[in-house]
Amino acid sequence: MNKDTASLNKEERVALTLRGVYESLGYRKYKMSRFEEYAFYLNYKSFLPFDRIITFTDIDGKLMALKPDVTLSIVKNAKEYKGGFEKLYYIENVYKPDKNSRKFKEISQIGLEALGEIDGYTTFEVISLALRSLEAIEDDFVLDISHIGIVMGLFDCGELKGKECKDKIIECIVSKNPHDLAKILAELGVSAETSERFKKLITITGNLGEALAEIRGIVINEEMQKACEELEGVWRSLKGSPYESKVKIDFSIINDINYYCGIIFQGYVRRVPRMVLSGGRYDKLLKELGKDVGAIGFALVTDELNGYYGDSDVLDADAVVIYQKGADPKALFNAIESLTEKGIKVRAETSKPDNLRYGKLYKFEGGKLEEYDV
Amino acid sequence: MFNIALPKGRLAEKVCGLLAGIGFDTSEVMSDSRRLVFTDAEGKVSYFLVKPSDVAIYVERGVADIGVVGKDILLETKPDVYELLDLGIGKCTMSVAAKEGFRENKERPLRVATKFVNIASEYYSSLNREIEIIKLNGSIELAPILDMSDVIVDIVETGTTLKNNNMKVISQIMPISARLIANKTSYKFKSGFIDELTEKLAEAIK
Repeated sequence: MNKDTASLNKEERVALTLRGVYESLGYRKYKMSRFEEYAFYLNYKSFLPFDRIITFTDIDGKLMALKPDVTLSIVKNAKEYKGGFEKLYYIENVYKPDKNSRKFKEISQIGLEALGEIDGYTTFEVISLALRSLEAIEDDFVLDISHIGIVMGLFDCGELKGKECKDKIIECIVSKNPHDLAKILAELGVSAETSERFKKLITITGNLGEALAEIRGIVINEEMQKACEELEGVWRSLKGSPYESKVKIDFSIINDINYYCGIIFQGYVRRVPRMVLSGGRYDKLLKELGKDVGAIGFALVTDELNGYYGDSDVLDADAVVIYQKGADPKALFNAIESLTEKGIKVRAETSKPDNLRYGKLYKFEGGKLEEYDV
Repeated sequence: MFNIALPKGRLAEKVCGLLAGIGFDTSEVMSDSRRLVFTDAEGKVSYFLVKPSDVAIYVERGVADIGVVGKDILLETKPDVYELLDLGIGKCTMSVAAKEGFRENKERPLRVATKFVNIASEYYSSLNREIEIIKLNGSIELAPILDMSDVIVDIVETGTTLKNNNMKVISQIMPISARLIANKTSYKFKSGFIDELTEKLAEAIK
């Protein structure tokens, strides 16, 4: 490991790696303003997956919000890019309500957004960057991919009505629950053929390339056909790359149907027991904000990484120098510098520290450094 | 190592029986009820015996790859896990019960005593009925007897406890049974093993 980065924790190292990865493809860093007007978030509340935001009244009486989301802010501030793209990444902390503690939680997040007329290349570029983001955490990772058009297209089969039944069916798909799904569809009087197609949304899993034939088998309308073709396009680009086996199809990853359209994906790494990356195509938000372009992006939640990948086992100091009070400051500093010049991290102390992890121990006496056993 | 969280008590025995039937070595789990962690002879599978309402937490946090939990707990706590199979055991009904001869006064909010705050709230909100929730942790039947509540929302298996306390079921909310759940990350990396186990269990309970 590079000596300069050896003392960084996992989260910092991932951030450092990804800055390089994103910038290598021309993504520019976006810095979000700490506070933004609450009225903006209120107008687009349906695009946030939660409804609580930390607010406060600014000195001029305006109600302000403390960073609930970065994407909304990026989209709001993005210029119209006709025939071109806005490509940005961010490393930010956001504040969201925590389901378990029922308090607000600070979440550190690294994300990336491409805004413009999204084509096959940009979709593949963002998916590739999502894969490299997961790889920056560990080699054992999976990117699940899906397409909202397949799932929503099936709802347009003409046999289902009402929002409530749709929500219940989606709940079953998200939790891969075929038994309750079958019951709900039977109660709604849905035909056996359509029920089987819905069940397939749970059972079609595994390698994207191998699953495509099965996906083609459940297509019933144009929307699904188009979605299937987009997935085929992703597979064609992916085939033969080192990431080929890392991308799996999984229709249960319905992130948020109000927000996403088109291709969506979620990333998992072996050591973290929940999803760490989520993203996809989100043109609806741009339309809502009056921008006639598309967008695709993702966010990687990094604040739990340090916990799951262990704290850094790097020493706090390579050496500790013990000196007596009243020692000549200049002579002591010069002696310490003779060590730091060799690249040794040194800490000066007046007694043996017991809350520090260190390598060698030196005594500074008579103007000289003398090593002795820890 | 593959980790399985099981609910302590009667259900654990039934689940161990099912797992033993599809080739898992659960003999130790069934023999000793005081220990909390068991590993099979080959050292490949570990079993944790935990409070039934905590199984989903162990699975959601990935300490256990899979677990068995009642649908009541899943509906109440909505953990972020996969629900792979209805095991068809531990069957009961989430019900509303009241004292014999109870007549609802619709002019005021209904006082509902329950352990299942979310299930009760969702049920009455679907009926547009205003309620006052009284959260209890056990002996729910006592609440209407002492006139602390009008009704209770609880799981009813045989109805004997209700009968002994001069109460009866006045409406059924939904059937409940034990479900096989899996951690989402575990499923991504061990799907072959988990799918095979699910299929074998599904076959065994047919």
